[in-house]
Amino acid sequence: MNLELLPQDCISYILSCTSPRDACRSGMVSTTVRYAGDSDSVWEKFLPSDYQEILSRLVSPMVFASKKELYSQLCRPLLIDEGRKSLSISKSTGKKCYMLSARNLSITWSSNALYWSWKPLLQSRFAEIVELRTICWLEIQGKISTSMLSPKTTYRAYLIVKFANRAYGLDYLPSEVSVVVGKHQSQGIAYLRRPESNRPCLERVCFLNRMEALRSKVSKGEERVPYEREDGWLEVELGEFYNDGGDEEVKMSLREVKGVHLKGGLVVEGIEIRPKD
Amino acid sequence: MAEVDTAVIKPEMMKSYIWLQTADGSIQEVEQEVAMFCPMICDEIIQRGMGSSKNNAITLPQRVNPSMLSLVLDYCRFHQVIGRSNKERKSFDEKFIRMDTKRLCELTSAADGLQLKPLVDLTSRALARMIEGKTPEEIRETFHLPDDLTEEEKLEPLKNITDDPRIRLLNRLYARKRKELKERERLKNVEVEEECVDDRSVDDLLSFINGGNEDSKGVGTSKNKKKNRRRKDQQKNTSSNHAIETTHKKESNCLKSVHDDVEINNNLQSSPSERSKLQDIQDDMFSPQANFEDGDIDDEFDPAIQEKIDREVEDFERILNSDWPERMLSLGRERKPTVISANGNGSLSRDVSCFTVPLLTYNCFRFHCDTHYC
Repeated sequence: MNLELLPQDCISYILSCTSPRDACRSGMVSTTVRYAGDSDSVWEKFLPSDYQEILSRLVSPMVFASKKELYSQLCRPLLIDEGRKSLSISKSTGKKCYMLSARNLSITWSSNALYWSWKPLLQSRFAEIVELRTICWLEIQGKISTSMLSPKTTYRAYLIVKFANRAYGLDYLPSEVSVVVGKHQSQGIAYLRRPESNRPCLERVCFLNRMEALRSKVSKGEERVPYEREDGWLEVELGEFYNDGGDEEVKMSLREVKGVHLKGGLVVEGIEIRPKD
Repeated sequence: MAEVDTAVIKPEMMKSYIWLQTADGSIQEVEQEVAMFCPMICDEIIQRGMGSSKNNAITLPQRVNPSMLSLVLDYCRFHQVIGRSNKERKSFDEKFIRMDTKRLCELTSAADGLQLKPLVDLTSRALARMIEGKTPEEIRETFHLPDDLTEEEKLEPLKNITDDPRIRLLNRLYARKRKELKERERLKNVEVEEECVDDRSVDDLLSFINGGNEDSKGVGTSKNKKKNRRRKDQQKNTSSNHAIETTHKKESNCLKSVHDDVEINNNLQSSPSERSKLQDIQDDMFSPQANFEDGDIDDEFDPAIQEKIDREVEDFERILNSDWPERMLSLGRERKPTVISANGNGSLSRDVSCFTVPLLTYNCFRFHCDTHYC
């Protein structure tokens, strides 16, 4: 008596108790196990519970022959909600991962062409990105409801940006980043500059006193360093929160409003919310 | 009708017993309240009135053998007592499933047959824990499963949705291996025929080229000649397709897959690493189903695909007809800087360097785009 002699749905049930990776690997074990592992009952369990609703929100309809295929197709970021957001699921755990496009965020003064300019960009997955021309009040906010996310997961929010060649003034003072969910708050600071540059630049030396004075006004917090992503963008961690499955609003923001100097050259793609791995 | 126990009855009073018969014919007596914990037995008693005596014992499904039955009954005996705390139940469960995999499988089967969902859950989860994180080899060892996937099944092309270069490479590797397998099989059957076909097609190719050469030189080609050439083409198409394909293959293979081969050879360094690479790639992909999007040139054993490739080759042949001899000749010539000639209608000009024009403009365009953002 071995595993093979169990009825198919028993083997499927056993595989559905493992992880998506193991269920996929089971395809290489033997024919009965492969057949059991490919069954819809296994992959239905790995898909997010509201996958039907997700399919209805997709910008371009999806064709799939089996739940397993659907799962693998959802692992790529797909545009939903008329292209204002993108959704993907984490390959190893099946948890949802969203990216809010710049249009879906509330960026102060973004409607004024003098300060921010909207344009399409090839390297972005969304139709438009927004570039900062020049401004002294930098404030970017995003909101998402926890009911859209996978329950019982710790999520992290990241601001996805690039720095244009002409970027200036963004890193004189650290920006304040925060994530607020109900009573829980996660705060920090981030210097908006490319990760490899530690610029001991002339301006800093000259205005050292002033900088010190200004910096003391900025709220303290753990420093987040921009990190280069695989898709060529940089991500700045805004904070993390735990989603226990309720229906609350998550407010994520980045602000640099304490310094009255002009800043420019920041290109914003959006805010990504993904499970902490 | 069997008597029903009530909670009021004192323990000293006589309990009802149920008779159960296992597949091997042995009949045993079991306390009713314990047996009723299993839905299947419950159904049999209540709906069909079985089990009240030795003569109409409830026949259990075949996969419930006596040793498994006693295990199941132990489980039921513990859990049907209402007063136990969750902690107690949990620790009992943990101790209960400590057994070798063979017995665990049998127990799952028995519990499934008796429709005892809590026990099925418990045992399935224990088995799932044994499967998690193991390679297919290890899983086969643990559960004594046969390695009965055919070579071809294992080498099914992987769906390359994210255009992962590793998956592309692996698909090419698989396609090559599939081809080898097919070749081996074909060689076993039809060895002599293969060689003849090859020879013929080389001759065909040469005469075809020479025939084409005559026509291209003369501007005012007579219709007859063209017709003849067409007819010759038609006849030779079927036989020279193979040749054209192999030539195309050779050319493109030379051009692009030289370094691919090197990479694939690196992958094939040692079989354990290859196997682990297969594991890693398996991790990356999610459906080992037949998929010809990534099929490329190597993938030609499917007859439908073969026809499609044949048709494409014919079309390409016709386009290339006039230029073919030029190109063949110019390959022998030395390289000299040739004037770039862009054709308005995009057709292939006599000049070999026209192939470089699109490449240059593409590169310029790319560079232009890249300077904007870093």
